[in-house]
Amino acid sequence: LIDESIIEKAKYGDKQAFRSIFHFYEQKVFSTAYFIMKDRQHAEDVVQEAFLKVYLKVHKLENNKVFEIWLYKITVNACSSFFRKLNKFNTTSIDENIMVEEFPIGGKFSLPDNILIRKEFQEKVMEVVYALPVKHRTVITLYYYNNMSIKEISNIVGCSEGTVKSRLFYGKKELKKALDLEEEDKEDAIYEF
Amino acid sequence: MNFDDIIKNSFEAEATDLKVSSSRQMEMLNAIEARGQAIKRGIGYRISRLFSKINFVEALEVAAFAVVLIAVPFVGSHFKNSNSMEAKVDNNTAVVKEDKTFHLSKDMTTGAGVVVTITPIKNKINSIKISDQEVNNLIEEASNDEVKAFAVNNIIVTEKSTFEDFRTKGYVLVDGSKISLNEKITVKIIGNKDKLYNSLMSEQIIKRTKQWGDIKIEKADSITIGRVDP
Repeated sequence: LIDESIIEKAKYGDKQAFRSIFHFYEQKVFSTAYFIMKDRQHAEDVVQEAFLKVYLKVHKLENNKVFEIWLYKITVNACSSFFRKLNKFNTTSIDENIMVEEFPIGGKFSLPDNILIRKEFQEKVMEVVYALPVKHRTVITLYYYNNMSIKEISNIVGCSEGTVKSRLFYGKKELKKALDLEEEDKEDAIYEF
Repeated sequence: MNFDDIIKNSFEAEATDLKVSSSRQMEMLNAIEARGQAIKRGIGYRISRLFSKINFVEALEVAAFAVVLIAVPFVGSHFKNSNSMEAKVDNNTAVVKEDKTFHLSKDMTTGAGVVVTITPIKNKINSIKISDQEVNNLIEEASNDEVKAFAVNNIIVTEKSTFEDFRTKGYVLVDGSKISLNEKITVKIIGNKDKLYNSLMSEQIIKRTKQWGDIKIEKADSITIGRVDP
């Protein structure tokens, strides 16, 4: 997390403080936007919109501790705005109201030792992530990449914690399903699940 | 390594490949700052900053003050532009309006009439009470008494004159001219002096006026209205 004193300085219009915030979070915001948008140019546009809002509205932030959540909320909202403009916002038929208190996380997995194969495997994981509906991909991204809690994601995407859990469960299920199927197709399984 | 770690690692590996070049970062930063500064120079942003600095109650007070600024001139204008014959007298506004059968001269007029002198008693002006009905009665009486011209402290009053009541501040405005209620007021009326005298000497008028000032009513054979007395 960035030092709160930098955020405090940015609130009072300190340009250097704003630049520090930009350099600290730019990569994270860009990657988050890319995972959601699947387009480099759009992700860069989202970065600019998100940090413009920070530039103009950081003085309104009452609690510096929630800066990061606020920043990701701005990022996700900017992505939604872009999707609306592009008329690409996916609606999902999945019942998002299913409450999933516990979803299966357990089980031991191993990544292949060979760097190339490991890289290939990670790319396959991301292919599955990119294939998920936008709403589920957003939750998966915030949970795994931005390390946000269920409650924080609920705040960021503006829906109930139950809905977040449901989307997370669905995303994980799809990931496991896709990866399991791929492994089953292989005669010589390199890694086991 | 569990499933969650695998997914996390995959995200991290993908993010590493997505790095934005330093030059591109600077381009984006410069663009953001330029846009931000342009917006900050705009009036909309300045107003939003102003409101963000005041709390909700203060914002309500500002809004109420703005409403008063907008509404008061509008209400005043409304009364002034009204063609109604009604004479409205209340704590805020008193307006004598057009009467097609009764006209007061706004030119220099000389003739017989009465002179009324009122010397206000200190701190009593808030006891001045005039009802709509009384104003209507006075207009009717003036018509009956063949009133041709009317002046208060040498300000000519016609049937179109406006009266604005600022008793709480110690004055009234007649057609925008201030008449202090703490100083002697002279009312000149040209018309049938006997009828006027009898009308004004009514018990009701004397009693009412004495609550806030000493009243003196005199008949006069020659009064001039429309010029400043030497």
